[in-house]
Amino acid sequence: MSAPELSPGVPSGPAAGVGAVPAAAGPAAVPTARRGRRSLAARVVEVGAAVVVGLVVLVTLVGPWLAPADPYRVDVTAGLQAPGTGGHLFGTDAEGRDVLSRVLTGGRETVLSTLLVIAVAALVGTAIGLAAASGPRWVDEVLMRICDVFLSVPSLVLALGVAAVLGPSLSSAVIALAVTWWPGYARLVRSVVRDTLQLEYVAAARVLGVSRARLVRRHLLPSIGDTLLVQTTVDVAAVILVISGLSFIGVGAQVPSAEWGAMVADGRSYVVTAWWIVVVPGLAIAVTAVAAQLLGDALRTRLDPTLRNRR
Amino acid sequence: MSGPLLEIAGLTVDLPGADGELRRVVHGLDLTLAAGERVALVGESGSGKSVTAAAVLQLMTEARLGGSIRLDGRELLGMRPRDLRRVRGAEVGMVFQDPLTALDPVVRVVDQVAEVLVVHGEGRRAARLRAREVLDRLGVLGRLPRGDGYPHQLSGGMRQRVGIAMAIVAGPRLLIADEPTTALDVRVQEQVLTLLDDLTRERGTAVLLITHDLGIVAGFAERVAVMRSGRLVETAGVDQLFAAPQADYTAQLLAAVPRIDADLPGTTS
Repeated sequence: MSAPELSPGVPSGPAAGVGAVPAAAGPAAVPTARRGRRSLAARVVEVGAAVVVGLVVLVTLVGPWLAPADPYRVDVTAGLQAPGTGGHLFGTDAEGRDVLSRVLTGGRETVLSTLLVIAVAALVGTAIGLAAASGPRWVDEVLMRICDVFLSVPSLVLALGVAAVLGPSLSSAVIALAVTWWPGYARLVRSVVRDTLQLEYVAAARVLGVSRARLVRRHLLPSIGDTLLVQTTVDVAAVILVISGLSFIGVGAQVPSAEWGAMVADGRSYVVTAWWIVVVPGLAIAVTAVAAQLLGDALRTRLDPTLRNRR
Repeated sequence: MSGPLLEIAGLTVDLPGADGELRRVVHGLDLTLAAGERVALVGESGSGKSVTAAAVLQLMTEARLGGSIRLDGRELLGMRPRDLRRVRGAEVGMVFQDPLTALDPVVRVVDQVAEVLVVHGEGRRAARLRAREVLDRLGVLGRLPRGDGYPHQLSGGMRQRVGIAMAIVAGPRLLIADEPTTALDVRVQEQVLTLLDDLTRERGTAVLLITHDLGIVAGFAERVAVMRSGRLVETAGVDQLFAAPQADYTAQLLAAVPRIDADLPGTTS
């Protein structure tokens, strides 16, 4: 939902990532279209995506301890070494920092800031969506018009504004993204809850004396759980691209940082002579985004009751 | 006890149509139920009978209601939401038409029935105990592995029994049943209706049965009210109505009931 609306705002920086997502989302779209029989290939893709996402989470947790060298140690004499030389598996960047160590360390910044954006957006969006759907009509109107206002501001432009006020940093990028991302969740939750409210069991609960607060907690929230799970997983791909993109254009994480997007930006002037500085973190972004996207699609297929029943 | 249990007087219901304009669907309806009395409200689709039922507990948030609905002399229309909530479930129970959609798919059956007691102030443990008793009485518990489960594990008839359990577990004095058997097949209809009959007799619960099926009215209700286009056409004792309908419309309605012994060319029933 938010992904297509926001992807035009992604700068051309991590081109590998941007290009790879729609292309690789193709195989996932196939089992959705031919949902009747779930082929072996589709299941391999599902398991593979889950494994990759698991690995990325692992790197986020223990990456800094896996790093063979200090990701920030500058050694100008060992700059721009090719992969495999001098004990650097993925080579070194212009300042002689070990690229592998930086990717392993920087994953934490990229992935955690992505998760933070999604967590904030999902929480705020769910609260506002619930209020809009179950409150009086004027509340709905007011909240949805506010959503429209936020949706009409491109996240990139807002990020530039936030960076101008707070100074360019990863937290500025996170704030800007969270502020632009929640309306998607608000709309999603609102529409799901509105549909659920039409169901007879909600009327039945109300007519048997269940209060509004309890109705929301016991009967409405559980029904949006799986929708949210799918949406957050798919959004990981989109947010990771924008976060890296913001870092790439210099609004997000700043230079010594090993955030993946910042690493790509750092290496862009050497892309012809030392491709590995750009390609390794770029691949990390692409692989993570694609895996998250595929996992989200797999979850959608599995959790959609209309698809599940046809299996 | 003096005075009727439920007294509907001059009830009007306006519902917004597709264009948002309010349209009157019930035009000044009068109906009373004595304590323990069983009244059937019949009429064709769109006659306003379900809307009337829903109006008693103010189920439709977008409807504009007028007139008066008194329960034991207390006016329900315009009642504060907090007070209305105490009436809902505890004093007036409601059974819905479609047992497939009237139960929350993600809440276990016993919890779902117990919730009615919990929201009216009973402790969780005691509520579950009473819920199990009622479900057992209705023959639902035996159909569930380990005595609990989710609605999708039950057949339609069993689900409707859960719906009945929810409606009566808090011991209401009035039960509104909105086409409780329409979505069930014939044999199950009879079982469910018999259970509803037994339970409400045991407890002396008054029943307002909404139906378009005159076949189930005769054995169940004491009095019948016939509705057409949002107006009451006739109210009569059930024997009198079937023997000598006063209104032309009632006669037409009765004549329209398919009879099992009638000759219908090309059909086998």
